[in-house]
Amino acid sequence: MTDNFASFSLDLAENWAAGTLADWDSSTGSVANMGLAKEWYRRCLRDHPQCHKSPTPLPTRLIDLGEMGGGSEPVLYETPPGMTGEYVILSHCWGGGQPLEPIGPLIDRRWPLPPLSKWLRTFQDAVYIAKRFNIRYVWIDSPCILQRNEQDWITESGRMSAYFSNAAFTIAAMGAEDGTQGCFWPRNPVLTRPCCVKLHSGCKTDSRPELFFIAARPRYDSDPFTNDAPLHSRVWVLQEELLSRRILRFGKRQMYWDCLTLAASESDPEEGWKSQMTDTRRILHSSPIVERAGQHRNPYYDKWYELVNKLSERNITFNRDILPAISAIAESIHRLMDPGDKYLAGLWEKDLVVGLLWVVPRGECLRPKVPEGQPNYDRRDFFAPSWSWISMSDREPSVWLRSKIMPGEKLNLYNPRYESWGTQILSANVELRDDVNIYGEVKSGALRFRAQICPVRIERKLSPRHDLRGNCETFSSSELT
Amino acid sequence: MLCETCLAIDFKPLDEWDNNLSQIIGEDQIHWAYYLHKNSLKELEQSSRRGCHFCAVLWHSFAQIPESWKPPDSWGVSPMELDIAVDYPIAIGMRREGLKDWRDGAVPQGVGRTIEVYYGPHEAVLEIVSNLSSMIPTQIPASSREYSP
Repeated sequence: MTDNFASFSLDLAENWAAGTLADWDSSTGSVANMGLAKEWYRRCLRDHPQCHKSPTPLPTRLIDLGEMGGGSEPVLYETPPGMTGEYVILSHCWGGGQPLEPIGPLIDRRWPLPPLSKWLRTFQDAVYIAKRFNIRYVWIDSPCILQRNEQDWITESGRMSAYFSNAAFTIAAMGAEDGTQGCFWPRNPVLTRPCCVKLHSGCKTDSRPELFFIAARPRYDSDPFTNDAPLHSRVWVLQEELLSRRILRFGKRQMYWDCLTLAASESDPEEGWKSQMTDTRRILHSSPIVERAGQHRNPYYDKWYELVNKLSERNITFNRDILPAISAIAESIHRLMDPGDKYLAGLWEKDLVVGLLWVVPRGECLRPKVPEGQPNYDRRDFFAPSWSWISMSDREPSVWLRSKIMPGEKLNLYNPRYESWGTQILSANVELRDDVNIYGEVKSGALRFRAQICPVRIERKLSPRHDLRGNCETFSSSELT
Repeated sequence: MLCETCLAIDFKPLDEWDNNLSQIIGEDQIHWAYYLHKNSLKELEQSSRRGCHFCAVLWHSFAQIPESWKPPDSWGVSPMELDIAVDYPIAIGMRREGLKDWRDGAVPQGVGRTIEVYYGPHEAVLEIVSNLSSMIPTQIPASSREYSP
């Protein structure tokens, strides 16, 4: 992108010299930034075949902004089956704001919506960005999923994988804690934009000076995937991020571009930060090439456990939403798992022996005491079987013990030497709440396995703040004898 | 718009500088080249207030400049939070392998892509984003003109 980027950066230098930089570029939503974002997108379409997907079917419903320059109010549009096209999709923190809903009946595939000026700030900003890109359609969970229709919610949330994957790009309102804050933030461009400096090196034989753009490493959004960005504290957002081919992120200090080929930012428009998520996204969007020989495990199981560990650092409002919130990731990664494998409420049947080895931090494993003769779960509030990490998803579970049994570690369960005493899964099943979505909510789960029982001596090492009544202590493998 | 100091940045081995720079850097790093920038943080602050963009970037790399700070029409507010009672000179350094990459007009890669900034016990890092010379070999942007204090 060097030629246009050079021109763009020289504009910055000219504005700096004229003392107009702060006015020209005082917000992450500035005209200068929109120009840069369009340049990133244009380059991606032209030069990045890996990021390209065609044709892209449209979601069930979209916000239709109308003909460009037409000035009409946006409406909710029921797309005809099989229609393809270009749309942008919004990833945001809802934050309990009023959902955007139709205000009249469906006529000719269109529902009327409230005037744009009444929408939440983040939604208005998403519309502004789409218009700057001349993209007519926008997908926003509210109103494109009918919030008062449970069946529609189940069906549409099960299609999130396709919706995010097919979008032209995802607009991530990264810095906003709720829908009222919007995508754009005021900021000082001097602290974000690279500076044009001529450097001379006396070390060189031909001492011709070179002209560089140099930027301070950003203090703030240096890693936009940290929980410093409110958006990235949410479980729901992880799948939105992973399944997107291109993401235009709006942080509080700067704007970022993240496609499957290029990760760039305002301070480093050609190539900047790169996160672990970038690699995971590339895997999820690539064709599976799994080269395994003999007894070696499928490496994508470990990729799944890495995601479990990442998920546990994030928050979700309702525990029962955890399976729907990761259903699109599960669906997307399923094709990479062993042939014929089955998804079991956050775990994979063919790697269940390893997947069961999850732990929660010491002191977080307390479960209510089960009355004698009762099932070991509460039927009224059931959302996951107790053997899945999902059942403790709010207590920072991690699939940590796997590191002790992987090849090269202390014990390799997949080595036939250990088969004689290894654990054997006899049956594992979950009952789905909705048969349409095998990655969605479950009503129950059952597991039968055979394993050797070893004598174990447990030493209780209670900390002073724990009492002895009803508390259960976890123990590490090193404490077992 | 750059100040005289920033217009004359010339990286040299440490032994080509006087003792003043050696005291800042301490042990000579043979793989690095250096440039003695301003003599104090105060000078750096004043230069950035006058409108030198690179001084502002350097200053920002040490000081907590509030987001409301704007150039150059509102220089009046001093956002400095560093203790400047004991002041040090400012120096910048770059790995020589990064300097070698200049020859082919490339952006230095790896550790050579960064510029270290030294201020007493503090260190900060700047990143070389791109090499403009290969794109615009003859054009000198307005930012390279010296300002008139």
